[in-house]
Amino acid sequence: MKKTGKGRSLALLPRGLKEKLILSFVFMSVCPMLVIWYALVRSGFPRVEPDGQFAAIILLTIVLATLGFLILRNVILPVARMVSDARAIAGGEVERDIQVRGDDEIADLGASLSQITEQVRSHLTQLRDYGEQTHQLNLSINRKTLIFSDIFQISSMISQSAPLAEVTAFLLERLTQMEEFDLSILLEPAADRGQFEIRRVHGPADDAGSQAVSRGVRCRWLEEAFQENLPRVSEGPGALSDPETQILRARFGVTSMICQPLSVRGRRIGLLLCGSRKREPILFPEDSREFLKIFGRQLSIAMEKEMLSQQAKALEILDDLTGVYNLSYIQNRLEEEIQRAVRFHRPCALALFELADFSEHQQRVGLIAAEKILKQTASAIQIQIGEVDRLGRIGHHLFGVIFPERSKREATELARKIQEQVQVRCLGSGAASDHPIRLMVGVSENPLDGESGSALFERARQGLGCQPTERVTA
Amino acid sequence: MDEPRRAFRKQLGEILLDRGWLQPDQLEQGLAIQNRQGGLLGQILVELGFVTEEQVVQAVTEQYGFPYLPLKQYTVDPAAVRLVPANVARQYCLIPVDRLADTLSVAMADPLNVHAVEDLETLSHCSVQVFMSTISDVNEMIQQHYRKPAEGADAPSN
Repeated sequence: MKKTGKGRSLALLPRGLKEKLILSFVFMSVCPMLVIWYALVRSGFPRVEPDGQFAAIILLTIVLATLGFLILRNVILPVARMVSDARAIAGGEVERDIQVRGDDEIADLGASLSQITEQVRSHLTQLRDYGEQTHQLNLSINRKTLIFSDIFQISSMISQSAPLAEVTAFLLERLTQMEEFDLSILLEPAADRGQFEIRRVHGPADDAGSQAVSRGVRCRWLEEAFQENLPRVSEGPGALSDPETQILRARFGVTSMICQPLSVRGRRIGLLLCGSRKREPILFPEDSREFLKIFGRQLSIAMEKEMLSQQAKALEILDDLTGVYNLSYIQNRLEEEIQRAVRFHRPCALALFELADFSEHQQRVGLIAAEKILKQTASAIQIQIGEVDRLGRIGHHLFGVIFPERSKREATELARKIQEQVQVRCLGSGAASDHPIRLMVGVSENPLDGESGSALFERARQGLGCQPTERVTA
Repeated sequence: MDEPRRAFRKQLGEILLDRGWLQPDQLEQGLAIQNRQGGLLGQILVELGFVTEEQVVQAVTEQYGFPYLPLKQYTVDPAAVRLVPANVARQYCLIPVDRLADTLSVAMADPLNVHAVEDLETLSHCSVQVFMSTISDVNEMIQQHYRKPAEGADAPSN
């Protein structure tokens, strides 16, 4: 910094570096040369001046030379010190200060360098702040990338028709990987209104919630979220403090909670409850809430898909392997036929065909050969029955045929013929010839053996194994 | 069991027309319902109120030659009833009335139901002698001799 004021004009030394150097040159070079020249002249004419005067002149010369040296040193040393400081700063010691002494050009230079250093230091501080912000931003991006990766993985599991239990377990586990959530729970409404059943929990092994899996939950806070189909949060110091919520928090060992309703086409199906076990209640960030919504939607989709899958399965009427009707269809059709038989005062018979010891046979010949026999058997039975009769595969190696308007006597005769044909065509030749398979038959009839489909099934099964009079074997 | 041989070649509707118990348009109406819903023509005509049960029974008796048994004037043998479960009696609308040696006498509202006769033979191991009776009489006898399903048993009441 430049000095200002009267003190500067009263200084013994000149202010400018140029004047200093001229003065030091005069002191160190011109004056000594004049003195030496004077001494040489005086030595050639010794009687002109006394010796004492000569010594004084020499002493004065030395003093002047020393003064010149000191002035020169006063110029050089600050420069050298500044160079040293500048090198240190350039080497990374930005906290170092450049000392400014005097008010000459070197002092100005030092002040300027000091200003530059200060600005560099300020910029470095800003850079450090930017770096910290960038680091936080990168962490946030990494966190979100991981969560998006989880979301994609869950979507992939759903699209690949992974079991609902597997999807749920993975989703709850990934929720607890988020920083804010230590516990995640899937709740489903119980038959009792206001009550929820804990379907699945994910959290630390010693978590209180894990021990509460078998128990239900009742809390107005949850019920309101469920009924309104809107997310609810109990967080921060101002969290809900009603006794039910406090009990719920204590039960799961959490300090803050958030719940996301699950719905399918406007129909509420459950709640996704997440909690933080940190010592102090926290505020859930906005992005965490958004991610919880996305996870909730995914779980809703998975649950809807499971429901649709079950409905589609219930609507299936054909057996995948053999192409004949399945158990569900045969059961429903038998009940219908019995109702028709009762109404029109007619009988309705049911015949069961079982491949004896087929499990052992399958172990011997393998799955593919066994399935081939099942297909052949179904096909052979199918071509033997009438248009109104219905064949179904109702067990692994059990077939059932509904004979509408057939008495037990007629149905038994038909079953015997079918059995003989199947035995000849399928079971006594080909892969099974080394180990023939017996086809057993049991027959029952409405009204003789019962008034319901289940009664007819039971009696026909008894006929397969217990009652020789109704059992026909090859 | 073979199809019952007709004693008279006329159809039931024709017999009822000949006897003047039924009008042609009523017969057409009854046949239309039978084609649409199934069931027995005689029963449909009775339900429509065109003829009485007794008139139908007499016509069928004339048609097929089954003997008519007025159940109200006959005492049912409980031992014969025990041979046939209640659900079989209700479904086929019949009542066993007597058993003599290997012959079971049965009163039926529809004596043409060969499956019912087959099942009775399977149940009782007897040959079956079929009598014809009105539906209301048979149902009344069933009510008398079998406990209702709500009472928890199919066994005869006595």
